[in-house]
Amino acid sequence: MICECGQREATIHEVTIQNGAKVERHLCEHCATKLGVSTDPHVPISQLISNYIMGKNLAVPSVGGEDKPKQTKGFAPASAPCISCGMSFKDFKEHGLTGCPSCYESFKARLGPLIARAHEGGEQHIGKVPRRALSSLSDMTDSKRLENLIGGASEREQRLEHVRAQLAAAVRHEDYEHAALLRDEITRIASMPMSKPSAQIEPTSGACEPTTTRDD
Amino acid sequence: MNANDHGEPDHPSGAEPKAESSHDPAGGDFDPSHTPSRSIEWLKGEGDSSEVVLSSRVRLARNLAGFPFPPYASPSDRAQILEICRRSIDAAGSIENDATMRWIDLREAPPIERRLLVERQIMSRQHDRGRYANGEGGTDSPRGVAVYEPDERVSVLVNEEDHLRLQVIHAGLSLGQCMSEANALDDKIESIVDYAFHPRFGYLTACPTNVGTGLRLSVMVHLPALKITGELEKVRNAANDMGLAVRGIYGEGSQAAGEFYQISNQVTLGKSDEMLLHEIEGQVIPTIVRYEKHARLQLLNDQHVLLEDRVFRSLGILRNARMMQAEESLEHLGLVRLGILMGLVEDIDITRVHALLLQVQPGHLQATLGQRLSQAQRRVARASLIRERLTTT
Ligand SMILES: [Zn+2]
Ligand SMILES: [Zn+2]
Repeated sequence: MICECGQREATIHEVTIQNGAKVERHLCEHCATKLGVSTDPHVPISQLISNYIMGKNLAVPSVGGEDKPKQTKGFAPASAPCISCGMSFKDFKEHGLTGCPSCYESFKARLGPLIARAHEGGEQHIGKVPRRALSSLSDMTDSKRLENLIGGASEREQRLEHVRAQLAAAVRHEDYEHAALLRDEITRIASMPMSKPSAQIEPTSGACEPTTTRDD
Repeated sequence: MNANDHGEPDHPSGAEPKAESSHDPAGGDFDPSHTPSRSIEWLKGEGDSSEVVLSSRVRLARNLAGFPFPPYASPSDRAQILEICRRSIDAAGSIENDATMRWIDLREAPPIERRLLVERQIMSRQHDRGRYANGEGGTDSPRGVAVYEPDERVSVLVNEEDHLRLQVIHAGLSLGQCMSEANALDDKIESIVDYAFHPRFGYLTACPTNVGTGLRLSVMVHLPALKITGELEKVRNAANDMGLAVRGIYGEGSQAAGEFYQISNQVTLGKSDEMLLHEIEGQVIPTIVRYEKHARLQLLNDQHVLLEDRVFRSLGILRNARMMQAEESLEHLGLVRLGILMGLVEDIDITRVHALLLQVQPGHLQATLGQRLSQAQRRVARASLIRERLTTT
């Protein structure tokens, strides 16, 4: 078989899913390297990652970057597959495994209750957050990316509420050791960097920029 | 959605006795240089509450942002993920000065080496086979293990159900220590690659039962006295009620093997790392340890003859049998361990018993003897190894 470039023998064969459809690719070593399919030891890790993403026609993911699938035309049909990996919710139900990180956003409404049930009602993550990502995004003016990582004011309030409820229960049961941990957690959440609400950002010079609005 | 409904990827479910009869684990080229001579952390028999707690283990499940999870990734995706993860682990450097990282590409590792890793509880049978719960993958699927020498206390599985699974094991009750070491390695890797993380669901994992902290804390306990006094079921039920999983030493379905159990959390979302640690290390395990110790004293004081009978019967079998299955030997080794701790058996060093827990496993048995053996040959060799280790001092 000849490579897509039509010049050399294809030695690397891969199947990817783009927008829900299977795409077969047959590449020579040369083209594979260009598309990030190769594993040349001299290519830096960051390059491998961006090669891969470019090869898939996806946006380069940086933490907090917009890697969640965009809702097309208001709402997607309930049976719509994950935009990033093409998995359907039916596939998920069959094996109990999601296809990619974006699946969680794609199927949030249906996954949410299942997840809460599996975690004894737990619905909101508390505890460790990727440290380097958090500190690098906290220094940046791009509050949107920070918000995509740890959420905005409403997530923070949800987290605090969740921990406060646990704290009240711990105090009721006179479990003071646990209560102390929960107080620490409240302090930690409260001290987490906060993204500025996008509404307060000064409108930039004249242009009617399509501001990123959130509908939640 | 049940944490156990797809093959127990979290807990290396090692050499369940069934595996011994279903296939020959040491197929393929046999290399006696793999003979394990190192001291395995979880068999040291040291640390807090070591009479009851053999070892503590922490596992963090992590995934790269922007990449499909391994079960749903194409083989070439998996190859690229493998390369990125391997290099990130490499670049993260050693966790301490004297530790060196050994990388094992499981596509190329001989079956015996993979078998030894399973028996040493470094990787699951699922990772050995390379087969995912959705039926994808196989032995040639791109996946690997990074093991930190010399004590194998720290290891990272690449392309198991998640891109990265960081594990730290310590002897005795030592989850806090495990967790801080796992976190340190986690931070180093995260300084190189972006993790998939969600404001609400936390660290994202292939299976939604692991999201949130991605943290699994597990403790291996030995509860022979509770078994004899008939209170084991109560403890199991109490643990289950608290949302904890209780499994046999080598995973599901091997409960009878020596009364060694792994107790671990199932909830990972809605409780912080510290809370999970506090629940298990601060509350659950100390309670179980207290019950077991109480049952041991009760047996010693009130049912001395019964206790002696159980212990010496097992010792007699171990010292005299001419054929022995792995599961049976674990059962008797568990009782002899109890006898040593209760001061009934004085001429056996407990470290020999701990070492045998591993040496009787099919892969290790063959590695120790340096040759491939059929199942029937293994039974004879196992019995003779045990006789030798428990009679000479
Ligand atoms: Zn080409
Ligand atoms: Zn997806």
